[in-house]
Amino acid sequence: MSKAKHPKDDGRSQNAEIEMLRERLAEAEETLEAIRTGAVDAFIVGGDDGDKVQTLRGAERPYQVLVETMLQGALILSDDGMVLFANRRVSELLGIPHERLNAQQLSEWVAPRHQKVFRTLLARGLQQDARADLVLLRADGTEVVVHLTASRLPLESTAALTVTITDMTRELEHAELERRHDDSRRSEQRLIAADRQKDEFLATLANELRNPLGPVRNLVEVLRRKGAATPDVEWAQNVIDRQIQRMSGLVDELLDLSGIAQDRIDLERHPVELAEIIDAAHERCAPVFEEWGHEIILELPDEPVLLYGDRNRLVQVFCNLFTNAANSLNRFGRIELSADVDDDVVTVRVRDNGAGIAAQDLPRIFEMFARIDRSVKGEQTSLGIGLALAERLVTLHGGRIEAHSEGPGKGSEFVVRLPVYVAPPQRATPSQAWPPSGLRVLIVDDHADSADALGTMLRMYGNEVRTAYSGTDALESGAEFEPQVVVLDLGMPLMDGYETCRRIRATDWGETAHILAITGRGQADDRRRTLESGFDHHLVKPVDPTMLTQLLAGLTPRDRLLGGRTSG
Amino acid sequence: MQARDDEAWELRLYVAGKTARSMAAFANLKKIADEHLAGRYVIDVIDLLETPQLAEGDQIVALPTLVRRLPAPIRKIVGDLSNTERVLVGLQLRPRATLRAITAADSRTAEGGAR
Repeated sequence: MSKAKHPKDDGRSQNAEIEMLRERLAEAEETLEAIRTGAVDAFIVGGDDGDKVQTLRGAERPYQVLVETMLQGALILSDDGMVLFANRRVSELLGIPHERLNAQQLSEWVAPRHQKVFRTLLARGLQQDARADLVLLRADGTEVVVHLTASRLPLESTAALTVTITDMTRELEHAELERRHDDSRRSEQRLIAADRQKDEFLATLANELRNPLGPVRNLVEVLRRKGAATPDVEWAQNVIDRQIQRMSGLVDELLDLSGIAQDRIDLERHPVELAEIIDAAHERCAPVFEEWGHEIILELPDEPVLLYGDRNRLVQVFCNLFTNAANSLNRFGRIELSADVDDDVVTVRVRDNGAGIAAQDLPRIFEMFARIDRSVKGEQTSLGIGLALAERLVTLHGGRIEAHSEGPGKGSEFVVRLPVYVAPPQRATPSQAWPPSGLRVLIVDDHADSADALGTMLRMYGNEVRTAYSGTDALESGAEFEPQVVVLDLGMPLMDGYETCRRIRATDWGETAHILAITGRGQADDRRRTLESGFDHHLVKPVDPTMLTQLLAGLTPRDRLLGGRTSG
Repeated sequence: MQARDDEAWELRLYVAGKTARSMAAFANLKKIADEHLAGRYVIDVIDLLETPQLAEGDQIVALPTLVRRLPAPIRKIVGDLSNTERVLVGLQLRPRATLRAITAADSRTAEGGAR
């Protein structure tokens, strides 16, 4: 409050006092005006124990708006569960008109199986904050899952309960979705694991199948060399040979399949000659061509074309292309292969006048298992991965492959482009080599047939051969025989190939011997392991007889590390 | 007396809870203060539903009420402060003459000029 000036001061202070009175009067008038026009929420009322705020009706409007519009149901229940107040949401949730709720027992709309839970909730709510999940029944009989809270509401003379209702339907849906998501993720993981198991199984299977193929192949060779007694026998030999090749081919495809799947195809790259490879592929596929009377035309450049690649794999590429072409032809079809060199790229085209490829199939032609129905024969002679494998191999060699076709019935053309090999300066030839025949070879394999068959073959090439069927046998035999070459199977029981090799290396005769590992496993890891274990070479079953003899022919004698004799 | 430009203003808004009116009063007050007292005012909001004992100091009769505590003298305005003219006059930011011509009948002659 401002200080009042003494009225007996000069006129100016008198004016000031009048002014002050005016202000206070104006204020009072305006206050009364405000009250009269209902512009106030509340009065301050004096009582026995001090001033109190007396609110007028309509002052709580924001709270009302809040309660009516919030998304939860809100109720005030008497302490025995009777509805004293319910907001709009409750009647919406239950599908009941607002009026019907008042003075009813809320338990009327609680599902019978949850009555007890509800009673407990109310009882607890009077003491402390309580919560419960239960099911309410709508007017139309449907159920709704809700979350209830109950807390004490002290009124003037009695106690009541504040209850909120939250509709859990959406939460339940989310939970369900998450559960399904988890389930499908788990299924996916199971499928991936199963898929991997399948690949491993295929790899194992293919390896195992190679075992019997080895000796059979060798013996066929033996039979061949012995000469055919009669034309019938010769024919029989040829059939056997062809079927072996086919079986071998399937096993290889099987192995490649798991190799592709496990992403493990390794190449052993050397300088190789294109014509030689095409010829080898032609020869390998010759049986099929003969059978169906196909005409094959090869057009190769006069000069040799060198590639830097894995001979067997490249042969496989072209064989697959030949087979693919053959499959799309009726009898007496025509397959043309032409190759030309341009700068540092050789382009090989394989054309057929067969079933052709439909435009919509062209993009998928190199996909695994896309056995697009071009085969005009009933039987499928492959697993359907030939083209996929060819594409993979060509890419690994740094090349490209394409397929073209005018459409169904109009034949097709496959174009393979590969980089030409530029030879580095010549390496010095070995100064001294053993004669192609006359090596002392020890063959170690617990599979007697395999060992004997290989032995017979090597003997035919003029080597002195002994066989041993276990690691211990090998050490005994070797000590006496002193072989220059040991052909050692890895997968033997009791003492395996690695252990045997180790022990051989520890002997006088074994220290400088050439030890060749024979195994069904041919991946990079496997090769590394054998080389690190003291082997000199890693051969994959079934062993190609020609390759083996070439390898033997190329061996040079090795000096012992600490003076002493050289082999001769 | 018209306030001087360098004086600090202390304003107090008494309310009865968060009602539509009290919220409107605060909003209006803020607007007026920002426009006419920018940078030299302080507003305290006192909810007498929560702290009723604080009413005694300023002799409040009804709510909401705006009290100008500084600069002296104390001025009070009741209502939601939606009539900006009335608020400005009540806070002595405007001469009263214009307002008095509009509101209650007055036998005195209108006074003009500054104070």
